[in-house]
Amino acid sequence: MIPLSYIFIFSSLLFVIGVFGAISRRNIITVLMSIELMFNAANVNLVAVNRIMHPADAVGQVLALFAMTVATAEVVVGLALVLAIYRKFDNVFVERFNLLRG
Amino acid sequence: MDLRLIAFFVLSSLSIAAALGLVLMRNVVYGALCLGFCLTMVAGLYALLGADFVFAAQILIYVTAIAVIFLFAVLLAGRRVELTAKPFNATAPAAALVSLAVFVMLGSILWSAKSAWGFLTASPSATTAEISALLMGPYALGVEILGVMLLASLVGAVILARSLAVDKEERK
Repeated sequence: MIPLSYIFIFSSLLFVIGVFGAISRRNIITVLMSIELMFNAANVNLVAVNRIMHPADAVGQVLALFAMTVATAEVVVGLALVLAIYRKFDNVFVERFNLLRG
Repeated sequence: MDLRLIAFFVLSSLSIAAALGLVLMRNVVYGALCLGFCLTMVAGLYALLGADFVFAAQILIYVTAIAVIFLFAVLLAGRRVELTAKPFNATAPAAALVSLAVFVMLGSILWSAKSAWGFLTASPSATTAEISALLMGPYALGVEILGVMLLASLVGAVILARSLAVDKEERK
């Protein structure tokens, strides 16, 4: 018997850790990995609410699968951008990416 | 104590520990490995919830594809010095405060209404057939759009990763 509130607390903790990493880390790849943590927290919520509150149908799991696909596309494009930026600036630290500074 | 509750506590605490390791550890390679471990534990949570297809997809997509791609990217971009450089920027204390405040707010709201939600009591049943019926029925348009989006991101990633390399060689 797993209470849904425990799962909510777990996923909000995972999400908040992801937020902290995305804001505070210097390495762009760790920032992207923290964003993946946030995606996972949302997916856990979708699946848990589906299985506990509406066990009859699987719509929440379908939504979680869609979110996974979008996350994959985001990672692919994001890492390609990281590699391109690394080639241009020879650096992986976020504060050095100042191409748009006037 | 219920066996499933014990399994939930073990999986969630290991997952949180791995996530903290990803965010706090200095070496980015360890961070990528921590991400893989954390995603595996989340997959175990899906199995515990009885979402068998999402469990398989999580292992196939996240653990064996995304985590490994991150590991490749860490090894491709960055020198040895950068892997162990100062990990946090100047906003780290403020970021910690803000995320702690957000967690306290979310947690207190969720906890105050905890009796409104149910428990996981039903024994798990196979959901793959149901998911496939939904994907091929009412959500077929979404599947098609996602396919096009994946193709576009694939082509875009190849172009992004390649064009700048060609640029650099021409400049030399």
